[in-house]
Amino acid sequence: MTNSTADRLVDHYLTRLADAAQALPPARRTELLSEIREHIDASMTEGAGTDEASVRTMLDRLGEPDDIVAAAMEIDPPEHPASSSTPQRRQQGIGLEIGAAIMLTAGSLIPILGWLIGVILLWSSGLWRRSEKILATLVVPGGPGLALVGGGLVWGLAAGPAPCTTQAVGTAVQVFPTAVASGGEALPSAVASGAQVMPSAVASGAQMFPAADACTSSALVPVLWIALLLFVLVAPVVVAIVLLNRARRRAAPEAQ
Amino acid sequence: MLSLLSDTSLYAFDLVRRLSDSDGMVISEGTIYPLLSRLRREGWVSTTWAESIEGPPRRYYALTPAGERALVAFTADWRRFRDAVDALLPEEAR
Repeated sequence: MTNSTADRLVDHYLTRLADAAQALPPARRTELLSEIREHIDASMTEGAGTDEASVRTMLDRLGEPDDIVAAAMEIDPPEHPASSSTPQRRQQGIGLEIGAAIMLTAGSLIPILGWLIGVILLWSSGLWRRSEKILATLVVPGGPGLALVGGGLVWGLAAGPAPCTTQAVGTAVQVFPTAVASGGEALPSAVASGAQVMPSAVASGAQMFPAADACTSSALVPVLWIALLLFVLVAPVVVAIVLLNRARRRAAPEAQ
Repeated sequence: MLSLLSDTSLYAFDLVRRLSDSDGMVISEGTIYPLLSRLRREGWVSTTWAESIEGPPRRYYALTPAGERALVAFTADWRRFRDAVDALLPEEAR
């Protein structure tokens, strides 16, 4: 009578354990079940008692089946999840993100089209937040490839007026002494002649300054362009790497 | 667990009981079995089957040479850790 109650308790416990252990790989499940069964058998033959109270105590000491299986998963996470669909989904999910990252950076060397494909892939991913998608779209429109091609073109245009630098400095040096010389002549002689001289000085100054301006800006151009070009080339790559890492991290828990 | 096995091989049930009896380190005895399986896969523990007078054959656990080395390393690490914590604690708290 007591024995049958005890047996029922044990059976019930083992059934619950077997159910909980469905989450484990088959080999580990069989192993765990047989070990627990041995433990129970040993406990009952070892004099712990086969009456209902002793069996209850023994099962209490063993712990909840769910806890045991949870411990088994934690101690030794199964390499291959029980469901075979998850790893596939993970690969697919990451594949899209990798494609987006490649097209937004290297792929943008195909002007506009490559980058557009990247943007489409980017926005069709479920692993990125809206803010991240906006960031990746804005840094930078057209992608580094377009910037490289476009930057090269603008560079060529900017390099065009470059010879003016030496010319303009030459004129400035030429203009200045004449203005000073005419000023030097004008001041002692008469206010009238000074009035005549001044406009010419202003005029020559007016000629001189735009020329100097154009030259300073064209001298600044290379530095600015190098900085801008570097940013435009590096920033999208950094953004792509960061987003790809985030996607990988987000895909990982799904695969477990 | 490794240190319980350092002198002698133990019968699984005994091993689990001894662990859970030593100052309540184990809440659920059942969770020790996954740990034992893990140690076996690591190659630190080996199992042998032995006939018993009463009942079914029993599984005995014993340390492998690799397990012994791991135990020595853990013991050294633990002592270092314990000493470091002791040194940080105020006198009266020790």
